[in-house]
Amino acid sequence: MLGRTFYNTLVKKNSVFIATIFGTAFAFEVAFDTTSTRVWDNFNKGGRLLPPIVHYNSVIGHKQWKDIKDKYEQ
Amino acid sequence: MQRSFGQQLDLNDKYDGTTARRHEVLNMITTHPPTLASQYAIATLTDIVQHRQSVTWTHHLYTMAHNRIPRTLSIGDSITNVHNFLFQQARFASTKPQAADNTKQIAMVTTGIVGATGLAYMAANQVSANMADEGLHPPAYPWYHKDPFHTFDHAAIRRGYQVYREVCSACHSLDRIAWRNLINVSHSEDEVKAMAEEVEYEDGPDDNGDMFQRPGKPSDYMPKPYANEEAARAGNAGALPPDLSLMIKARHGGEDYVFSLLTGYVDAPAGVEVREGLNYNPYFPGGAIAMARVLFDGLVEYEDGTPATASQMARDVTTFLAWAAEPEHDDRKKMGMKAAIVLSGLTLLSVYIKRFKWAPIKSRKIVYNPPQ
Repeated sequence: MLGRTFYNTLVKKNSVFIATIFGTAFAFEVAFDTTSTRVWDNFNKGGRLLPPIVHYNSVIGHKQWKDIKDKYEQ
Repeated sequence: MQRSFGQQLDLNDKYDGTTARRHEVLNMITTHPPTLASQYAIATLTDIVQHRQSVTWTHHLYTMAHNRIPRTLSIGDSITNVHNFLFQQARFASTKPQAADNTKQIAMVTTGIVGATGLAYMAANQVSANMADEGLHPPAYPWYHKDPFHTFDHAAIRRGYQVYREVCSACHSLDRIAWRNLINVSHSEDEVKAMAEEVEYEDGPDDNGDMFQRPGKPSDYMPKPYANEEAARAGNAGALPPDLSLMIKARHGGEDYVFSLLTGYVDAPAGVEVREGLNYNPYFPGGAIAMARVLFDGLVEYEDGTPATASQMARDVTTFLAWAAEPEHDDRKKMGMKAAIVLSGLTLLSVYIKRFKWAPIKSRKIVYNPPQ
C-alpha cells in the first residue's frame, strides 16, 4: 500500500520523479553536512572523551579556530 | 648389545655418553671389519659433534679405531681431520653411499649455499647503524593532529606563528604562506590586515615606470629575511637557512624531527670535534648544525598566558610549521570522515541490491525430466 502510494505520487510522472531525486539529494546533503559538522566539531572541541578510534590525548583541549576566535575578534 | 652386520646406523640415536655406550662402540670398532667400523665411527663422531661430547672421549675412540683401520691417526688430530678421514674410508669401502652420507652432503651443500648467500647479502647491503651520520631518530610525540579525526590545535598555531615571527623569521623565509592564509586559521581578518600593513612591500611600476613601496595586503606573501640566497649565506657564515614552508614534509620524521632538533641541543660528547661556528645536535645528520640553539625559556611572551618554556615554544612552532606545510589538513580529514561514511553506506546498499537481485537465481532449482 505504502509502496503503491510512493510509486503513484513520486515515480509515475517523470518530471516529478526527477524533481524528487534532486530535492532528496539537496535535503540529504544539507542534513548530512550539518550532522557531520556537528560530530566533527564535537570531536575537536576537546575536554571530553572521544570515540574509540581516537588518540590517547583525546581528553585534552583541541580547538578549532571557531572555538577560540571569540578571544580575538571584536 | 650387538648390532647386526650391515645394519643402518641411526644418526639420531640418542644416547647419554655413559661408559656402557662407550664400551659398545669400542666393541663394535674392534670386532668388526674396517668398513663397518669406520661407518660406525662416523656415526658416533657425528653424534659426538652434534651433542658436544667430550674431546677426550673422541680421542679415546680413535685411538682404538685406528688399530682396525689401516691408517695411523694421532691423538692430536683435530676432530675434523679424523672425521674427514673416516668419512672417506667409509665412502671407498662401501659399494653404495649410505643414506647418512647423502644427508650429510646435502646438509653441507645447503649450508654452503646459505652461507655464501648470507655473505653476499652482507657485502651488498651494508646498512649503516651509525647515529652520528644518520642523525638520532626522534621519538614519536603525541601530536594532536596525528589522530585521523583531529584538526590542528589552532591555539598552538597562533602561538607558533608568534614564535616564528619573533624568532625564526630572522633567518628563515616562509615563501608559500601568504598573510591571507592565516585568516580564520590563527588570526581574524582584522588582525591579519593590521599585521600585513606593518610590512613594506615593493610594488609597481607606477605611471612613471618607477617601483614604489606600499604597506602590505593580506594577499602578499610572508616577507623574506634576505633578498636572495647569496645574502642569506653571507649572513650565516655560508650556511643557507632553508625555507620553512614545507619543512615538516621535507624531513624524515616530520614534526617529531623538527621538535627534537629544536630541543635537542646538547654539549658534544667526548671525542666529537665540532668545527668553529657549528653546533652539536644529535638529531641533525652529521651532528654538526650551523643553526645555534635559539629557544630558551621565556624567550617570547604568549598573549594567552601559556608559559613560554623552550619545549612549549618548540611544540607550538612545530604545529605552526605543520599547518604551513599542509594548510588543507583540517578540511581533508573532515572530508575523509564524510567520504568514509557515505561510501560505507553505498557499499552496504550495493551488497543488499546484489543479494536481492540474485536471490531467485541462487535459490532456484532446475529439474530435468528426461524424455519418456
